[in-house]
Amino acid sequence: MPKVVSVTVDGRILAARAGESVLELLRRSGIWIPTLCFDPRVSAYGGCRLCLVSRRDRAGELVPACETPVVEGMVLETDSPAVHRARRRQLVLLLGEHRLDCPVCPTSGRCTLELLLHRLGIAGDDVRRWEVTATSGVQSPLIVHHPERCVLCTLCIRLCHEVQGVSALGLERVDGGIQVATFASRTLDCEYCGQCVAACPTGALQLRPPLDPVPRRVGTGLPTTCSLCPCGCQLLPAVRDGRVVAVESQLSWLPNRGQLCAKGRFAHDVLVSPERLTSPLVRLEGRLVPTSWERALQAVVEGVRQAQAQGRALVAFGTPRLTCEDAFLLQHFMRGTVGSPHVGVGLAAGARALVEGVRPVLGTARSTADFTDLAAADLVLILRADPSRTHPLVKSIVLAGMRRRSQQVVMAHALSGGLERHVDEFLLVRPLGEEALLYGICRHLLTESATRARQAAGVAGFDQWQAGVLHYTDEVVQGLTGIDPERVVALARRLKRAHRLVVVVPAGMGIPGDEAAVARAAAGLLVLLGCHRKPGGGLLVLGEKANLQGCLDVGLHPRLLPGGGSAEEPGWEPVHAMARAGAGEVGFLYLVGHDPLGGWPRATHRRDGLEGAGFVVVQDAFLTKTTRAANVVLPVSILAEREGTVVGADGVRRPLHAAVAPPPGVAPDGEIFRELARRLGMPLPSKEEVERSLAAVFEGHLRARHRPPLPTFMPPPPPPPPRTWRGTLLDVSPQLLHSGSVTRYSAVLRELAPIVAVRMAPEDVAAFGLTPGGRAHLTTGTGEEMMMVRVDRTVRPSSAVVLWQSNAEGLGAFLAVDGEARLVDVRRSR
Amino acid sequence: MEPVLLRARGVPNSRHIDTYLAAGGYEGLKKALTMDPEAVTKEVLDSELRGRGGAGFPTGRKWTFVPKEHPGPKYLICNADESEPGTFKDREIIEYDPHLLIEGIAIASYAIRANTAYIYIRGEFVRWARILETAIAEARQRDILGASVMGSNYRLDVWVHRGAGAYICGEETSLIESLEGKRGFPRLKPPFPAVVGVFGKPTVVNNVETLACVPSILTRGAAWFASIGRPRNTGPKLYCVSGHVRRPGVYELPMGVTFREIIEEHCGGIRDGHTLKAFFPGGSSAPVMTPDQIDVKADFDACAEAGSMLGSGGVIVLDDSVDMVEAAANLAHFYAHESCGQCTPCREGSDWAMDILDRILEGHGRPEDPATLLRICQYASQGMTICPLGDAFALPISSIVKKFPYEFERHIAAATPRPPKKLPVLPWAGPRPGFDGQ
Ligand SMILES: Cc1cc2nc3c(=O)[nH]c(=O)nc-3n(C[C@H](O)[C@H](O)[C@H](O)COP(=O)(O)O)c2cc1C
Ligand code: SF4
Ligand code: SF4
Ligand code: SF4
Ligand code: FES
Repeated sequence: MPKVVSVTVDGRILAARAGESVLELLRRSGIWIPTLCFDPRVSAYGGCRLCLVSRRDRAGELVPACETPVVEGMVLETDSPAVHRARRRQLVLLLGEHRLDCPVCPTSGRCTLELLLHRLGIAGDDVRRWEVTATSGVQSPLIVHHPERCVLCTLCIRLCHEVQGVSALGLERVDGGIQVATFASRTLDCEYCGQCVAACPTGALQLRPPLDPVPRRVGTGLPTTCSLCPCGCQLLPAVRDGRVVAVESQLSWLPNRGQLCAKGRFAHDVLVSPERLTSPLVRLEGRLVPTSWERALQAVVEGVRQAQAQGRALVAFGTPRLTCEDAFLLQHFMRGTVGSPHVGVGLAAGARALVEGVRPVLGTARSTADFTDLAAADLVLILRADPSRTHPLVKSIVLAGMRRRSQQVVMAHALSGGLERHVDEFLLVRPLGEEALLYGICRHLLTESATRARQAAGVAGFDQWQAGVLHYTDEVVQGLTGIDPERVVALARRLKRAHRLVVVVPAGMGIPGDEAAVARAAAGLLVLLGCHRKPGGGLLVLGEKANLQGCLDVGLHPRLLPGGGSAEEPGWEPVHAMARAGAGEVGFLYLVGHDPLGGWPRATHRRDGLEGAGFVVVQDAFLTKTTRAANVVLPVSILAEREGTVVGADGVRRPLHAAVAPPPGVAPDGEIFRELARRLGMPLPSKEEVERSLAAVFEGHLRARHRPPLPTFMPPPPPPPPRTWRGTLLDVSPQLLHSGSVTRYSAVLRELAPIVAVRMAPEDVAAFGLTPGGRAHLTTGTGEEMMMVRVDRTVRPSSAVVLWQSNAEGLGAFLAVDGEARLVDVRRSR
Repeated sequence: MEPVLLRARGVPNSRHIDTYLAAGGYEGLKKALTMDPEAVTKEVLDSELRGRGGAGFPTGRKWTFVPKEHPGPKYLICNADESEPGTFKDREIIEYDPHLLIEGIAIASYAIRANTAYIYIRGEFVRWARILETAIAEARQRDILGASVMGSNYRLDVWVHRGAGAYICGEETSLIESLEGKRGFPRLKPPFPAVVGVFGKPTVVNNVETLACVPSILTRGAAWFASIGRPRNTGPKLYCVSGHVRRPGVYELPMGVTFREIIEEHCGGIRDGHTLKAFFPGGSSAPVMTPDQIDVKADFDACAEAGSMLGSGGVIVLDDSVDMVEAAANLAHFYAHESCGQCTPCREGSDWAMDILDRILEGHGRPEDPATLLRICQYASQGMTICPLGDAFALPISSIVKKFPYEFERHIAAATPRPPKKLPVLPWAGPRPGFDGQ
């Protein structure tokens, strides 16, 4: 219960919350206090001394507002001559060693130091004007560092350490003082989130030209939602001459509070990529040639008609990046206009976890925990993959929880990442071992705690589930996970003690293990612990693409209808559909933002799947491998060009506001669906009708949160035989800087992290006789490829990290079908 | 006065535990263990022992600030960072009588109910760290430390932690940060370490000499201790005298001798052919005193009355050969180098002061320089900074400017203006080749 403390400020009595700082109170009360070193996302520092206020109750003592907690009966002055004098003094001192080259400083106009100078003034005090010359600072492909403009507020350091968990920056003693630096002055090798630059109150940190400086004051326009992952980060593109030149985010925007990852911040250059498609293409005499929209659409309509006439199936896959509105239209187009049940999100990571994992147990194909629950949890269990690679915001939320000491985090997976050095416990499970680990925990909970078992016994399916779980003995679990039974017991006890447990299941193409099986097991564990749907507790499935949740919500799935009901006549699942296509049963294949030939595991399709399909339409922003098999290619708008809404992994629906117009010749997905439907004689619902349907869908979800369906235990599979792994694990799961599809067209991201490269731990690079920057030959049972070698300290020894999707030939072969994991042979090549 | 703290100086094999035990060592600890921890604290409170680390805070009072009912662990830290210029007394105690310190640590830990004590020792003190390690091992072997201290059911472990060579790590909160494995940045007080200290737990930080006083308070009683010196300024005190005296060194004298006695009697006066010009009574952080103040008593209150402070008891004596501007510049260099850089007034101020003083010495002083120096010092003192290092540089330098204005005037009168340097202007970096597609 927060206690109220009364504090007198400039003669006014204010009600403060016990435990908050004076600065928080003053800012909340609308009183202006200058600061340079304060940011609510990180711990207070007390260095700049601009926030000094005077305590009348202590003989006018000056105290830093940011570090002083409120005390009952405090009497503060924020506007007295003494306070003004003290503030100005700090500026005088700071300017003494400042370069003051404002006219040529790119930050001028957005610089907090400059702003304070104008606002506070330093008249009357002479400023020491020392000969300040340019010094060299942090070296980086992303950042230009001018230490001579630095005010040593350490915001960059604290954000990188506390929010990003990267700790790439620190202070180093240099001749004549201290300076922001990397360890041993190495070239900056980090997550390239740009947070340090965005937070720098001066011109000391800049993005390297030709990147535009990070904007710092809200321009006009509404923030939009990042389209590159389902974290739902809010950002505002800065536009100049009709082009996005930079991206800003504000502290007050949830859920990301001003934070962005490298993708959100820098991938906007794909909008103007020269590789972008700007005109529809049709196949003429075997070649794709540019054509008009009129002709292209007509060709598609004929394709549909022909398939219908032949009595062959019509299949559509929409990328889970489609907005809710467009996804709704696509499923309506297929189910209504075309009259085919075969519509879905295609092979999209997370879809199976939600539909086949969560839904059977918890009743809805939705996560039961959101980011608020995640922040409020006292224990977080993360499985399968490291969110610092797959979902950066989730990483920052748990880092903040751990810093507050209100949260413990346990992580269990077989892959590499950077979060494990921060978490309370990390279990390196064997590849594919997470499911067995979860059932092993369940078995201990059942045998150790009679109360738990009794409480869970009322849940449907309990007996069968329990019988299955009991097969996961210590020996079985150890054989599958490689984890000592004592650690499993200890983990089970830790989970039992937790009041608010959130289990996080990231999904991503290439993460080994069956996502649906893990989600099902995790849901069962949460039901057993009674944590599946309580505030601060639940299951959080993180899909890979921005709007997976929204697409499922609006029925873009062969088995789901808008609102979550089951389709009476289920359509074909993607892998099955591709097999049918190979058998010549599909007459029309509509691939909206999907690239099966480039981006799906090779084993899930054959080229003949596409060749067997009568008529193939690809709707995308770039030429992909799959376009080679296309009869028609339709170019679409992406990222900051789009309007609509998306639903993040946390189940929150957020708007997209277009910041720029798409290039001429490019159309939004929804418009294309509408146009096709109109030409086929069955127009799609109007914008208003769509919004009404969607409103009903999301209201239904809201209601389901309050009156949730009853859970059902789903029996676990019989345990497989023990598995051993010896050799180098091929890790093709997502990488932070590349989601695999759109981001690979970003020149900036490509420069920061090459796509076609194998990343390995330094010790492995040495052990295999490789040279960083040299080439290596990678062989698996299904393919081989030559790649550049990169040293990456976050990669675990005995694994090789390769980006899962790429235009390079041969790489597709590396992708295992969902569920598999592979070993790889790495050799030096000359 | 017979020596208490330097009793072992000159005794053969004085560091060995047997020598210490034979001389009645660890009797104070034995006695303390029969008493209530509160009674031990009371005894120290009654002795009026004040901290010898610099601030002179009553040691018993500090101990009572530790919340008695606090559930988790509590810690005692012995501050052996001894980096204050002109101070070299703590290493003397460790050199000759490490067990005296360990006994003091054990009694203090018992009084605050700490089961773990750390000795944070200056990184360069390799020799004295080894001596302490050996002494701790001996004490552990004799069951004086460990699971059962001298047969009681009190457990105490003592660890030596070597610093990494920063003056600021002698300041108690940055010492604590450093002990936690972080950069030695001071913390804002309150909360004081006695409430939130190392690892977030209640912690008492005491100086080596302070703790070395404790055993004799237990064996001989608070009244005996308080009888040395005068009220509020009691006990034996180590004075480290350096500079232009005939016999510099560490002297154990009753608190409250005058500086005249220290300099003229014990140290044999100023070196031949010279006269006293100034002295720092308590290390380089204390405001400078002048020959007319030589009859001031060398205790906490008298020094404070005289506008300075006893500090660590490091008496730095300067004779008439010294240029006070040079002395000030010397201090400024030290503090500009040792400022941790966390807060603006100290980091920028010390650097600025150093630059001005250097410029004056280079012959380019300006008439406004003394006033600017005073203003910079004002910016960094009076609680404008996170830790007292701001005061530590501002007070002595401003005292020199105030007390020796004519020395500055002499330099400035002979000064020539410095040729102005061109302010460099950064050429616009321009687009960099490499990002394709733009
Ligand atoms: C800049 C600075 C340096 C200090 N260095 C030392 C030191 O080297 N040794 C020491 O014992 N105390 C030092 N202190 C004082 C400590 O902060 C602390 O007051 C002292 O250790 C408390 O012990 P006492 O109560 O026994 O004096 C320093 C204080 C400051 C502000
Ligand atoms: S870009 Fe991000 S990860 Fe890199 S140094 Fe800056 S804050 Fe740290
Ligand atoms: S580089 Fe910028 S953010 Fe970092 S310490 Fe300097 S002024 Fe602050
Ligand atoms: S006063 Fe100086 S030493 Fe102390 S915290 Fe500030 S900068 Fe660091
Ligand atoms: S904001 Fe409080 S000291 Fe910088």
